[in-house]
Amino acid sequence: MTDPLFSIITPVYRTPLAYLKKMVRSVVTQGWPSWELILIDDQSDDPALTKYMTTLSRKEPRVTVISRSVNGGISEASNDGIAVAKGTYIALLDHDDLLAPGALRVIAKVLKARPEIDYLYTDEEKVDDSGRTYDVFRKPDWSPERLRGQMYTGHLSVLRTSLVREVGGFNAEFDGSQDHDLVLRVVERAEVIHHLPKVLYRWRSHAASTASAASAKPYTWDAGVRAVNAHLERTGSAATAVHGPVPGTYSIERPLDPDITISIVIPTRGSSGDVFGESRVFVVEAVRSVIANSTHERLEFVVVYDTVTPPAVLETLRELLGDRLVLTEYDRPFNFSEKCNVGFLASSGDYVVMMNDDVQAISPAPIEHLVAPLADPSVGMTGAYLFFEDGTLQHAGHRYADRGYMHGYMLSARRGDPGPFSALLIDREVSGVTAAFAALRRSVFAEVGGFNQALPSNFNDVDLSLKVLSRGYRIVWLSGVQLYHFESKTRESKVHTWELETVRKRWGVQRRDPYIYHPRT
Amino acid sequence: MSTGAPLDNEDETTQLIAWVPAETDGVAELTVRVKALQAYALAARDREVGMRGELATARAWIKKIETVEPGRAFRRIDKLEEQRENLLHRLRLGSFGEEAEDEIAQLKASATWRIGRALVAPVAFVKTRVLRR
Repeated sequence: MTDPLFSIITPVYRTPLAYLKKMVRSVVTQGWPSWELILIDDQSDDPALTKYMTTLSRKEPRVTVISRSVNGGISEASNDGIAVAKGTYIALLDHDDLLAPGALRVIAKVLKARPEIDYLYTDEEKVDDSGRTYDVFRKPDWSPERLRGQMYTGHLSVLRTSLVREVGGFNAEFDGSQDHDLVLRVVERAEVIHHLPKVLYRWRSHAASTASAASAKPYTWDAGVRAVNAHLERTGSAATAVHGPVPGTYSIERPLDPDITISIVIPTRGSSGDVFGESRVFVVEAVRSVIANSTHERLEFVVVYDTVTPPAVLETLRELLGDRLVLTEYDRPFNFSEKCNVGFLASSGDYVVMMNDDVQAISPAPIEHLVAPLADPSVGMTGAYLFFEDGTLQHAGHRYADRGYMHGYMLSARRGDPGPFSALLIDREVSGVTAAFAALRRSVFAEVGGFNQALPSNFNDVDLSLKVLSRGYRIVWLSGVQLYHFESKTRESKVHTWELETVRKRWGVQRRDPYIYHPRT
Repeated sequence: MSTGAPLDNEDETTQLIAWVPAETDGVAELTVRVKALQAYALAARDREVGMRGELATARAWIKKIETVEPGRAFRRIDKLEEQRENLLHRLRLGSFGEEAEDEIAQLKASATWRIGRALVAPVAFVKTRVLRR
């Protein structure tokens, strides 16, 4: 492939001259020659700006200035630039931001090696007036679920020009979240989407910019809700987007078919213990919390119980669940995987929820919300947000990196904390989820062969997740499905080397998680 | 280490298959046997998907050891090129502040720089001596 030409599109509207100059300088000093900078003056009515841009375009032939006769807003101005762009790729650069040194050269190298890429996005950081950089956003690799929950790809976005034109460019109806809308329309048609994990964009933060705070421009949030809803409609989804927990985030509400049967498989030995200062039988309270929070009628509870389980516990379950209960005795030595597989074989539901007996649902409709995303055939497994008894984070998706399989990260977070770049507030793809509360379509569980019985205690959920991923499915972690998990109360955690080796033999040594960045410590 | 019970045990597998006769004594017994076959099928699928994973892992490993040495060298060259470009960029901007100086210091402290210096130093010494004459 020859050197790609980048058409950098920058609408200009009453930009402080110093910022504009810095932005231009960050482009002309790229050390990569193949670019054109298209400045679209959206009738700034500022003689100093006009003079600067006119002089610049005379001095630098790669700079084109378009002067609009009427102010049309960011989408219309950008579309004027897209109309005259000569490059194979369009790069979107805001009038007061900066390209990192060498950004275009690094991107060009990737695009030359992989010319099939339709959309490329990079990591970014913020820069203040003093030039100090902060808030580095190390983004996940392509994560469509997260893009519905947040415009995470942001800057720098490099899009194939022909594709941008094919989707009709920017739509002024979504001004404020016009970039989110454009990217959603592009990714609906893009064949290859690529994340370049390098910080190549500096987003200027000042009093009036969106970078300073999402709440600085509340209209952008409303426009974002409309953009995500338009995307859901175009893709034939029955889901609806609403405002998320914080500005700039969106929650996706998915309907659940009332006719489907959901089997909840619970391995147990009927243990008791103290939680919140009171004694409880774990499995009974776990079931109670699900019943109390769920409205779906077609629920089947498959309880796989060890022979040592107290009969009174089974009797209580019978009273609670009536004909919704399927009891299956397990008389072999402890093997969590086998117990789950036995439960699956005893179940009859279209969807299977794997539930530990030491959880307690705390959010409404946990089963419904956990299962609903599985109606999308590309989603193979879903998982939940779990907390320890003290309210600190226990599970927000697995992270497989640095040669290991970390179940926990961001462990200091508490319920309600946003996490880095709102990662704990939005649904997103993950490499795996804990089987303490996870759902799969029946067909997917069977397709991957359920749990690996050679992993009776640890890593069986890691292996299951990796099997699901290996079949091309997505695994989605759901921020709104929240439960306590009193894990340490029911069994002692001890990881053996042979368990790690068993997983590594199948799936290799994991070095970099595609979804969760974590600096090596 | 077993990776897919009950399939690792050939006797058990044979026993399972032989365990399904043409005629059965009743529905209950048949149900038990169907469940056993379903468990067998589930374990077989686990084994198959796992072995595909092992194959992909082995292939990736072979590819890696075939390319790791030149691959590392190229990556290092790329990184140094990038650092050089960044420093040149800052020079052009005239914003050669403390941060850039730190980067140069880091570059000079790197093993690559030191090895390079060690290789070049004798040549430079000889060159200087020759030029002096």
